[in-house]
Amino acid sequence: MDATLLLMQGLNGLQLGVMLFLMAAGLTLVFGVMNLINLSHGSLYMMGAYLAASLQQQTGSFLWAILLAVPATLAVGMVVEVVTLRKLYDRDHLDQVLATYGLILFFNELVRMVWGPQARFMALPEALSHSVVLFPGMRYPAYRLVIIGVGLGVGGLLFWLIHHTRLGMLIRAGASNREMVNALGVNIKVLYTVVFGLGAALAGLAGMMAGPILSIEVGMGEPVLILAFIVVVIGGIGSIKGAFVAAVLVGLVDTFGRVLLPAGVSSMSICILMAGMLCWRPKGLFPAHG
Amino acid sequence: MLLEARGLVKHFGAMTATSSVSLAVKSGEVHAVIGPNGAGKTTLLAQLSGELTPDEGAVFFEGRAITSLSVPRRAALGIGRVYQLTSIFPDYTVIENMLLAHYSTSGHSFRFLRGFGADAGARTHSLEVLDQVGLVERASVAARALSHGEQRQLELAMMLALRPKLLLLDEPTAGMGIEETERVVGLLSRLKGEVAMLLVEHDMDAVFELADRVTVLVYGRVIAEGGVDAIRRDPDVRRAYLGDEESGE
Amino acid sequence: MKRPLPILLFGLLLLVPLCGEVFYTRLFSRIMIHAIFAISLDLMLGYGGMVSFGHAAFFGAGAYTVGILSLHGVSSALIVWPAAVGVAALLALPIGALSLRTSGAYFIMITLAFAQIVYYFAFGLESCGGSDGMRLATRNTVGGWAGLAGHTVYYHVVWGCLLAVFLGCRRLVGSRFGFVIGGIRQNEARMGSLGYAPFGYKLTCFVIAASIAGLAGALIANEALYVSPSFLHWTQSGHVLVMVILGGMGTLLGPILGAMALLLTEEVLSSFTEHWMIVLGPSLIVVVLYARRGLISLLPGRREARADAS
Repeated sequence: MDATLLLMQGLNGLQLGVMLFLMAAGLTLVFGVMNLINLSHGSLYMMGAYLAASLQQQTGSFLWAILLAVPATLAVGMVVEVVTLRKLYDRDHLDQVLATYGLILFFNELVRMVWGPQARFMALPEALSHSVVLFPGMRYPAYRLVIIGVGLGVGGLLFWLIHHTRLGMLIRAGASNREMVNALGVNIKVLYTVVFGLGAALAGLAGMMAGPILSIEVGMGEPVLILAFIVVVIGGIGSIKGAFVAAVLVGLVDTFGRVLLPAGVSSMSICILMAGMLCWRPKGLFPAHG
Repeated sequence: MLLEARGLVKHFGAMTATSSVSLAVKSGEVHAVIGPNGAGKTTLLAQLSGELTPDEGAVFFEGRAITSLSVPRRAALGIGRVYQLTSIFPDYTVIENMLLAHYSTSGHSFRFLRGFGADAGARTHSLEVLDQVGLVERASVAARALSHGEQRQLELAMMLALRPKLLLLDEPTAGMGIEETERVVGLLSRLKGEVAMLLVEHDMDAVFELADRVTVLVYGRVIAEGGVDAIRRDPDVRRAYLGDEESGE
Repeated sequence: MKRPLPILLFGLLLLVPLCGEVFYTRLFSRIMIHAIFAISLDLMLGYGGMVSFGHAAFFGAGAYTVGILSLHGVSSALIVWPAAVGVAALLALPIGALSLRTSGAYFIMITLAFAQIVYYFAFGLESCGGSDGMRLATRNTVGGWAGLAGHTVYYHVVWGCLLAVFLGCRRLVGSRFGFVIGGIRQNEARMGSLGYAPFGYKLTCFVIAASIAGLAGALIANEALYVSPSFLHWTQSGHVLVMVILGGMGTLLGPILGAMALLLTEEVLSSFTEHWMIVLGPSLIVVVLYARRGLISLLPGRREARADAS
């Protein structure tokens, strides 16, 4: 494999990595702060993609579609939180897994009823549908570079939010000590709804950005969800930093695995990575809880 | 010497929970560890039982180094552990709890077919121990339905069923009413001589009634060690710990 | 009789083929196979306290064993079914050993991820038709006798398997091993201080549960006469969890009732609307939130299923 191809695949891996990070960030936050395993996180990814696709059809603009679909997914997330998930925070993980599994069934069927069973596609705007010359002899799709840029940007923003704002302080405090947050006079219910909405918006953003690359279809969130779980496990539950490092790692391993390994084995490279991590560090790279 | 700890040190981040603690328990002796809250008594006990590994120092049991052995391995050598918070099997009946303890001393439990309660010898022995702690008439009650004091008695009975050489007791009378406390202290004093005990306890009356020797721990450090009377008279101890106890009497 | 309910249930199941409709015979064959699958999960979930979201891996492994052996011309059930059980057990050994290094939420996600590896592996098995799966020409034979091809005969074989699994598991959970597993579920730290090393017992329970799931897999492949990656799909793991919870976990009759209730509900709902999942999903949430003790708690004179997980 020559250097150009290597670099191409590296960028592809990074692009998958930042998408996974957007998914995993929400999962790990919700887990770290509310102690909730949310299987339906993939449904929010799917909802983001479908909402953006519909909005693009209505408005005719890719940018408007994204700008409107993000708050829309945020709203969907908040409604889901208020209607069902809120009741699950003090339940055990088994209940959470079952109830959010029920949510997946619901969302998949809802999408099938509203948008039909056929896959949909999102068109890229003219400005992004070409390739750029990174250096002589290497062209790379502009849109994928945008994804990487947006992913890194959102990641940076999230890091700043968690570590340098009052909301972030509350989120971190909430992860370690609920009573303290309550004692600060903060309405913990509202905080939880906000955090969940934030995670939902990130998952939705990942979904809508994936729209033009992958087909938008029922159940599209589930493979991503499982990869995001692996990211969370490798990174350490509750850690944003861990989620980022692990997401890029998983993105790279998956991409290079597909290039370098025979077909049957390549899809397993991630899981082998995870198994190795488990032997080495059962609590993940950056365990947030002890 | 039955149990000996030499120079135990345990850090949690910047905090030193145990600071070069040494102590020794003879066979059949009751040794109490006292100290104010946060003195590191439970941490010390955890290093003796194997839940925590000390950063420095060594633990010996019957002359053998056990510092790196796991909890089950130490239990198999004859170290029984009674927790500060009641630790039983709530879904099982009292006798089932006892059988579980009993079987842990008799070979492996990869036995898939024979009924759990079918061993008459095990039942008889379990009932004897229950009789000893005064729970025999509650044998077929689910453990979760017992009162708090009864659950502590059951826990003690389970430990006795292991026929340990040493019992590590973390506040066995915590959260008990006066009557229940008396019952447990009475039971422990009847056991005295049969089994050695390392006792962490807040109730000074219980300590002075039961203990042969006392180690006083403050901020993870041993500030005094000796017989009960010597400890009572020790000015450092009075200042650091017993001061308010004395004035309260 | 001390336990009239299991006898009644198994007796009623014997009546199903008498109605003479192949549709019902096959439906209830499927229900009983899923009941075996659900019992196997309940062994580790309800008794062992291990919440696995990857149990379909072993179900699928059993099914694929039937498929792969049929490609090699091995069709005797006396070889194929034990092989299916063995393959599932061998697969469970490394998966269990790695997954059991973790607990709680990590365990759930890891079992899910491992099941996905197995799923992708089956997906890439070109010799078995890859993502489409493969058809089986006939059911397995017994010593050259092809009688299992008859749905009524096969129904009775499945019935016998379910009964054997039910009785075997009842024996197991009442044994010394079963009590140790339950003790670990209730209070793992205490088991350690009693001198039990939990890991070996949990792994053994994991492997036993997987083996029984492997048997269920072999049975479903024979019932449906095909194997496909859908047997390994993670929604299978979700479905079987739902059966256990719906029926009542920590009991052996519960998973049978749960399998029956879920598959019959699906059957009924799907006859009204193709979008029956839109009803099933929210009902599941309602069951989890408000009816956690399962169907078994509705039956008279039963010890209630436990509502707690770990």
